[in-house]
Amino acid sequence: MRAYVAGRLATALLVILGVSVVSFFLTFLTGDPAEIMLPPGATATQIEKFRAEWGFDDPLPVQYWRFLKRAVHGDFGISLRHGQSSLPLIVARLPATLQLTVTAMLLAIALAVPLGVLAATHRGGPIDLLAMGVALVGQSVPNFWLAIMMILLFAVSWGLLPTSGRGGVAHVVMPAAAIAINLMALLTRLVRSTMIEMLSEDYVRTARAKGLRELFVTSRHALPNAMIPLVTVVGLQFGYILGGAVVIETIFTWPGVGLFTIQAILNRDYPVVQASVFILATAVVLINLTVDLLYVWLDPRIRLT
Amino acid sequence: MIRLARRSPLASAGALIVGLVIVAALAAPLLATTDPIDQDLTVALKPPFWLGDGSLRHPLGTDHLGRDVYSRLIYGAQISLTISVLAAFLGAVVGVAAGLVAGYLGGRVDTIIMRLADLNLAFPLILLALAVVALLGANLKNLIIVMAITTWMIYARVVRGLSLGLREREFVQAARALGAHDARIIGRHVLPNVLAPVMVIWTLEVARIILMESALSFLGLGVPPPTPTWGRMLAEGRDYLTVASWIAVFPGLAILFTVLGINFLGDGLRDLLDPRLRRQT
Amino acid sequence: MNQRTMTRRDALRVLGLTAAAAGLHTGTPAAAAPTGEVKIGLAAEPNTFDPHLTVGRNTQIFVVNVYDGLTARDVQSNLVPALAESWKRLNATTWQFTLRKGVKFHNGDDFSADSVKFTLDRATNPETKATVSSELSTIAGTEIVDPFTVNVITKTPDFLLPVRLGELYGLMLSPKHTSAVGKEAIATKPNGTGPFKLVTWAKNEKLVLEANETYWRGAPKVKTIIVRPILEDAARIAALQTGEVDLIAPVPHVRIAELQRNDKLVIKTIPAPRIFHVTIDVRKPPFDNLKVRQALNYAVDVNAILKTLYFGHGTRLATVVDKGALGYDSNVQPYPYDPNKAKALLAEAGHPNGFEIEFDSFTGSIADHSKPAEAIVGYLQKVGIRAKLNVFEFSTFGPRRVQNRTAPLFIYSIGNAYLEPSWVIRWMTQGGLGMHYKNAKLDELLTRIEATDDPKKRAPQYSEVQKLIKDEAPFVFLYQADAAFGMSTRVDYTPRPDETQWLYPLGLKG
Repeated sequence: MRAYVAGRLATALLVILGVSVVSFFLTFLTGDPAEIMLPPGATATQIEKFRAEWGFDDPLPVQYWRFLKRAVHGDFGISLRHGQSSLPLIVARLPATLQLTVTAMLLAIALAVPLGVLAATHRGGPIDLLAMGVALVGQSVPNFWLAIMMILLFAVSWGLLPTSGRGGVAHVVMPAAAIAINLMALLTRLVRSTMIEMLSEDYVRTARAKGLRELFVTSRHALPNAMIPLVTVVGLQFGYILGGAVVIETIFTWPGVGLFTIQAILNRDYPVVQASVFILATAVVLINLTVDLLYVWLDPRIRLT
Repeated sequence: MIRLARRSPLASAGALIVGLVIVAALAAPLLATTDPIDQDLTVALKPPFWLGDGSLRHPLGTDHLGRDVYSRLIYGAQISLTISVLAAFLGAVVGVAAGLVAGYLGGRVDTIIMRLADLNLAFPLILLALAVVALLGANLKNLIIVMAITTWMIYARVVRGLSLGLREREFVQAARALGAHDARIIGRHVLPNVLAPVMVIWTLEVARIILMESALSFLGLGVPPPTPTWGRMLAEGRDYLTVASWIAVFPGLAILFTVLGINFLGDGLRDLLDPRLRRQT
Repeated sequence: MNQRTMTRRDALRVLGLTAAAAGLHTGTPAAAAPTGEVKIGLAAEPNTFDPHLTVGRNTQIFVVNVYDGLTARDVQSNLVPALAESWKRLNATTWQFTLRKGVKFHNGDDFSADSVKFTLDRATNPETKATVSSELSTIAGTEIVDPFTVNVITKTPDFLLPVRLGELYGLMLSPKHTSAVGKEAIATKPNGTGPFKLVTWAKNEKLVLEANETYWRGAPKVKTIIVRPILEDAARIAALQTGEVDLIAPVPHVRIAELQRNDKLVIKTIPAPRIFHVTIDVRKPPFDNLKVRQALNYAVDVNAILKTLYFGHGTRLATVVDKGALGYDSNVQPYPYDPNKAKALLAEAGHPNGFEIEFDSFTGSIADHSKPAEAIVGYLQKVGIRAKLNVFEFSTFGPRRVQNRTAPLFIYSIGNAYLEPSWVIRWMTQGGLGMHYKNAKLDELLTRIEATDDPKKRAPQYSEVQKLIKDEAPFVFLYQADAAFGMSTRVDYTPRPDETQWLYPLGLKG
């Protein structure tokens, strides 16, 4: 087990490095920041002079090496746009993004599991139809459209919730709901589908034949196995959620990593992009590792191999 | 065929809806009333025919450049469907294959494939889309590739998870004992068991890709104008939600309708394909 | 108090001294101490408060609330004294500025000639890597004559220097403080002479300004201003409607009519000096033929574009000189919309069946260029010019421009922050960045204008320039769009015509 974890950590580092290199090159290959940083009246010669001053005209591998040398000391460079050290800028935004995404994920799971289980155990009945209906609508709604509709309804028309910005429960409800809705739908369907599989498994039928109560059967035998793909998918979705959070963060001006990163990408603020990509890659890799370990723990058959 | 249809009303309903959309997509030149990119600023932002000063000439209204929403919707079916179905399919084929190989063979192969998935997953989609568009040009083919790249990992992970467990199952071990090749085992025994969840995921992925396309259009990185895709129409209509909501509402409904149909179809197919259920009935 | 300020304002208006009064006296306290709090929602927040590292007009127009330059603009856009009481040209390459006495930075440091020399040296020092260095590149050096007089020497005659050293790129720093705290600190903890101090700044969340009670123009009326960046248009407008904020900028044109119907809100618009145009590569056939270029201008119904995409909130421009600029001549009429004439001209030029061409546009910059580009391409296609529209993301478009790899037609806009047509036209005739039009007669006219120091004498000379440019049609002339500000009736604010978000005159009603 320990060897497994160590090996995974080693390859995780490789992944993070890989993402870093690719991001750096892509940021520059698609246009360096010089033109956007200068005032509009700058002439071509002035742009070239500026580029030389900042070292943007050095060959890319040279620039990357310069960056890497500092990065290993934790210094991702000064943000081109904000004039402050990049990594602390990103890290300062992590709590906001975590607050939003974790709330959204918990919301989604809390709704999806009971809904999915109910649908599976009452398969074919009205509850199933209702659950599936909710799930289907949930996954089909474009979340940015939903977000704007919610603002118009709850904030402007009814004055119940604030229109934007970060804060406590009142502020987080709408953005978290907007993010959660697609995930909730996905999870509900997955839980339902895998529960149906499990409920028709031989060992479950055996248990039922032995006369054990339905609920007992469900929770002791079917549910844990149904959790396996659920855990996998939730972990996997974390990457997607961070991506989806970008749009929602923009709409609500939620001061999170997503919003900051996408502005940095569009501004070619490469120190910030690098810092952000590093944090994101680390997070996703760690989550995947956790999921894999949880997976092993949940399914004893794997552990035995 | 009729027997199958009766067996699953869900699949039939889904097939019907999807069929309608496909027909609309294929017959776009016949069904549309105008050229979808023909603009006429004098009739910009006209409402659908049942509101205000709308007319049957533009039954679902016009957008900010005076283009007919109905015609753009029909042509949009063609393009949005093409992108999402192709991208989801491509992603599924690559992902399922990768997952099967990783899960069944385990060891080094498993590690490499899963780390590649990690790298891909950890990589910001925006940057990837931006880079592909900037370096290779903004066209349909490249966008399909970008979307496929964002979707294969989910199949790979889930399928790997399911096939990791399956390798240890009695019937597989029995088959191996009988001398069956890995490929055959995967094809005959492992694949059918992963098909059901994969199908569920696939239908959801098509939906997600349709929505992702609109998110990219929102950021200006999607299919370039004036090509009408539902996602682009949704993004364009966003600025006019309070004065001309029809520009965004109809593509939104189109997406909903289509996705619903795909899901009905997926669910119905899953019910039909599930061997256990077949045995029960 | 209300009574008193009303009377004072009336009196000043009558005497026409509203602007001049701002520059007259040092250290006069306001009629009453600043009170109250105003909340503002903006689409973007400044990237930094280091005046030498600002990126983008959005930052420039905001940091002027914390700093002052040597000159400023009044509400009629006249250039007026600020930290410099007067200035004159000693010779072709030297300007002398006489500085205001008794001005202090927020931390108590004194403003003097040292401040000016330090600031300008820092801006032009390659080590600073200042983003404003391009606009101050004419400066050769600064000489201190006495503690309140400086000479700024330029490499070539620069008639715009007083404007450059004003609110645009001449915001003054304190030498002692800046050297002590270092570059990174100045970005978030500025120390200027301006009407407001920056108290706190949580990026993407909020920014708090507090009145500088010893401001040399007199303390501002409002004590605290809280600025929130609200990127999404719908959310920003919603915040104004619910009263979460009192003032927002910008208001998208599509929402103006609806908000004007709300009697709790006031919408004010100004013709922002951003000149939209389509650059034509006059070197590449068929655009080397004047008839073709004119045909392009006749082909596009610019008024229809203004009406539908901007809901009428814009001004048709006959040339590339904007309405608020010095010497704008409204007698130069724009090309009328005449698609038949366009087709006729094309036929005369040897293209009766039109031709194919590429047209570049982009997304993601400060203003929307892709919608007007789509509209323009639509019009061109109707007269047979089969333009293929390429849309790039803004930062990807940049390198194409710099490397002169753009399509022969591309849409662009330039903000004439100098309010001086010569500046824009020189930029457009630089022979790089995709702009290759040159005209010797035009150069001659501009050189003569630039040698004229008195703005009143420069203005009429621009008429000939505008006629020449219109006739030559090196661009497809478009428009300038209005900038709209939305505010609640609680607030008294008149936006400045050059878009500067000058919050000093902001007041509360009642």
